[in-house]
Amino acid sequence: MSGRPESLASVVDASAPASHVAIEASSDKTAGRKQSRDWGLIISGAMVAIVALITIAGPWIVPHDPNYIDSRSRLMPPVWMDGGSWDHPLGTDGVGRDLLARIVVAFRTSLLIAIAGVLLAVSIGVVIGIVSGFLGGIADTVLMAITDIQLSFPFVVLAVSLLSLTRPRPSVLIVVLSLAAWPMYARVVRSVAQQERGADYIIAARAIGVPQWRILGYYVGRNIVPPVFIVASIDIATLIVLESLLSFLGLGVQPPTASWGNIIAESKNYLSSSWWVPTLPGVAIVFTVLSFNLLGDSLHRYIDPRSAR
Amino acid sequence: MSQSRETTSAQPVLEVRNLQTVFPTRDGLIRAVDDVSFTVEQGKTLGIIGESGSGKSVTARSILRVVDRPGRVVGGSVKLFGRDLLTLSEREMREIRGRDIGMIFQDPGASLNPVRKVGTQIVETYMTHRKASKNEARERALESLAIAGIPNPTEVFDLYPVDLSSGAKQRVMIAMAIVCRPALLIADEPTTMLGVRTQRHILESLLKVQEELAMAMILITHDFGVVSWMADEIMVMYGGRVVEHAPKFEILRRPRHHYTAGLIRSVPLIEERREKRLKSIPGFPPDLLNLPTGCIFHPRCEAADGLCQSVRPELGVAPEDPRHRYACHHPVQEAVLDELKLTG
Amino acid sequence: MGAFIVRRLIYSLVIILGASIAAFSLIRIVPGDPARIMAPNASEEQLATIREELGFDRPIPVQFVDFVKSAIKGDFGHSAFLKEDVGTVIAEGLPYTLRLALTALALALIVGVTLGTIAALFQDRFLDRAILTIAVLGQSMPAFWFGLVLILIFSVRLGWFPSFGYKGPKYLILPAVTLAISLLATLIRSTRLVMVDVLAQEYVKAARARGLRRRTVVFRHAIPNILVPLLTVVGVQLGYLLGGAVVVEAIFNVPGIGLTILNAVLRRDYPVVQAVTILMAGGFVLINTIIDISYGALDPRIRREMTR
Repeated sequence: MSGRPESLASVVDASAPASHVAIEASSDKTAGRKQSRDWGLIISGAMVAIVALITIAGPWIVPHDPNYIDSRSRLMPPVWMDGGSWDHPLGTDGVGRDLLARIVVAFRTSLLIAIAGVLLAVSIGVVIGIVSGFLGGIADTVLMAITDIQLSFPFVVLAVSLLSLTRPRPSVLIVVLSLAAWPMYARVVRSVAQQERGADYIIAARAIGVPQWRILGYYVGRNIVPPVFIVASIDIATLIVLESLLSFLGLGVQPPTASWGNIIAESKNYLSSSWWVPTLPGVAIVFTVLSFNLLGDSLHRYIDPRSAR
Repeated sequence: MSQSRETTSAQPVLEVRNLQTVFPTRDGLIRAVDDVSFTVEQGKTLGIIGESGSGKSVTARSILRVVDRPGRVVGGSVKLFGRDLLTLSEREMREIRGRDIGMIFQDPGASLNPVRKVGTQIVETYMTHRKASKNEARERALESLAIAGIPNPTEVFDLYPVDLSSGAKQRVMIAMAIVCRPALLIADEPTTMLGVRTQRHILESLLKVQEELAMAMILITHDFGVVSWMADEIMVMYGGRVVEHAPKFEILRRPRHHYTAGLIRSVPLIEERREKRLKSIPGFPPDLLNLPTGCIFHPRCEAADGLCQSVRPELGVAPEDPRHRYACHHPVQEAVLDELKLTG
Repeated sequence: MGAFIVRRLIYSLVIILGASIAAFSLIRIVPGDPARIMAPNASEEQLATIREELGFDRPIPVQFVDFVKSAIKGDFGHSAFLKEDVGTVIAEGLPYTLRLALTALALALIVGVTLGTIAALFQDRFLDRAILTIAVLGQSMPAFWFGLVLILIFSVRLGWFPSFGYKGPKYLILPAVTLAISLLATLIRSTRLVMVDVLAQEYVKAARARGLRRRTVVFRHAIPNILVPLLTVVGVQLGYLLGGAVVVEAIFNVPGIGLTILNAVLRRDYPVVQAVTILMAGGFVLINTIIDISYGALDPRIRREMTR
């Protein structure tokens, strides 16, 4: 809503300075103080590294073919429960496929789709944001109105309607997911571009004959990379959740390709008898999403220490 | 400054002894207030002057025990009519704040809640401390606004801070501070954020309020011009310590500490000839985490020698006037201002 | 002030109109025959009937004008699948969805603002860390999975709450908690963020220095100052709440409009999809408009700006 007087961030930021200095004298001292080791960044970095490792190496390590159906060993419990065995550490699903193998290969599916969705969203958002912020005027008004129109649809409703129009394909899924994320980049980039438009160094660069596109690319790029990284990290998390949700609803990744959402959907009727099949993929979702959310938060703190309060 | 004050046996309103306030930080302990003592008597004004970081504001906040985190009062006593505030429970202390001691802050725009009517905020303060009906509290608030120099209290009562000029906001802050008729008013840089003319009007109002309510007042400022007009006594702070403390005319006539002398020289007096440039003190305020040895002022002092670098001067009493205290090995001898300028 | 409201309302109307056109055009501009998508197995005559009934044979703008004309009269079309008027279908489902969404919103607001405020008051201490950890976990949980876990624990194992359908308030608890969790987590974090900032403001310190009680400082001085940023968050999150309702209604089989639209999408019942989508978009825009206008009532500074 462009009529909003102030965004949350600006409300928070505008009132921040001065109030935070413990006493007048210690201000420069405390501000220049060395950051002690940032545990948030280390822990979230390690979690993301684990996710990356499983994504890359996982499918080669798991002993079973995720799509191998063994009807003799249906709904086997995980190893720590009665009747479980190391052969299927997390048990098997309703048709006897190894649950661990399916969860592990789904890392690749989910992450690839989410990352592709974020990259697409960043591209769309950056282009629209720069056009909007630099040109201003009618172009800006129209583009922002389009953003507002898209945002007025609850994303799930929009995604479900769009996906129902075509045969579900990963490429379509990626495009649909990017719709959830691009407006944020458009807004961030637009506000940076608006601030930069009048900045002295832009005017100076133009005056000495630096071409427009280089001004945009270099000067603005430098200012939008940090915020875009923060938002992108959190958006990977968001898109993983949305992808799993759409797959759960049967409109995302289609079986037999394993995705956390469709494993849960296929097994939700076993909730009372074999609870591990629909719940364990969720643990993988929570871990992955948590790691990217924490990474985004830690990056935010690292890049903009004032947000650490 | 009459002699009779010396012989008065009346108890002072506030008696601060050896006050110590520290800020533990990652890089070490900051002694924001280090061994500060003074008294304030009824109807009198103590001016505390110093640069930012000298500890003057923290001293004020320590009296009310509202030092910002991670600051802590760790030593000394703060006696209000003989009752040590530092030994009170938080609940008892809360009753003292706003009832017995009122406080005015530097930035009236930031000190008033922007989304509440000013009248409501005054009434709320009164009703927190006194058993009163809404109507009584309202009457009291209107009366206080009038005393603080608001010409149209009933209108201002229903306004929001955004509707008021900064001068009017500071008057509202004064009204709020005096609504319970406190014995002591602490004004922490009350006019720093205001324009020159407004500044004068607010200070005049403060004097009038103090007289009308017979309050003791602590006026904190970095402006020697303000204290030399308003105060009865002047206390100079530097790096968390008191470096000089004396009755106003004594300190203006015969400052002993070189820092005080420097401050006085840097005051633009109206009579001063224009071609004569103001003399400011060279150097920077001390790093509180890394105070100089000996006299903490020695790096900026023209009279400093080996003694000043190694031995910290005690805050001693001047032989010729027992009310004059200063901490200097080589006190200033000559007069900084002549009598003519003082009276002018 | 009036000018601001009028400008704001006009903009909202434009957005609602744009959203309606978008929702309306979507099915009609995708490559392929919309009638064929709706009824993949129908014969050529049946397809012709569908085309004529839904007006697909006429130009899109004409269709849209007709749609708007009937919609104003309260006629949102007819669902061939449900053999009912779309208006009736929505009217049946809407109360369930509203009850669910409002319960979840209330839950998220009460718990979220309380926990966020507590976290801010205990900034950087254990309680703060614990609350923030819960919030980050809550933000990282997909609602559909969280709902299943709740069913597993409270319905299957403990048998405290029913997990299916809607036959009274008891049926509302698990769905409402599921729907609330993400908004709740977001509200904890934004409340804490804004509250920490407000608590460090001079007027809060000044209030304390006047001897006001702690609860007076928090409730009278701090909370009124976090309402505007908090409402902004709620407005933005409303979309997630409505989208979440679709999922939650599907998991718990609540017969609201979320389930209606999901089933309609799966059945390619486009008159229903179109109407519910427009309704949700309109509701979202309308509530955000009300929020924008209400800022003036909550903060005199913004009120002055609006008047200017």
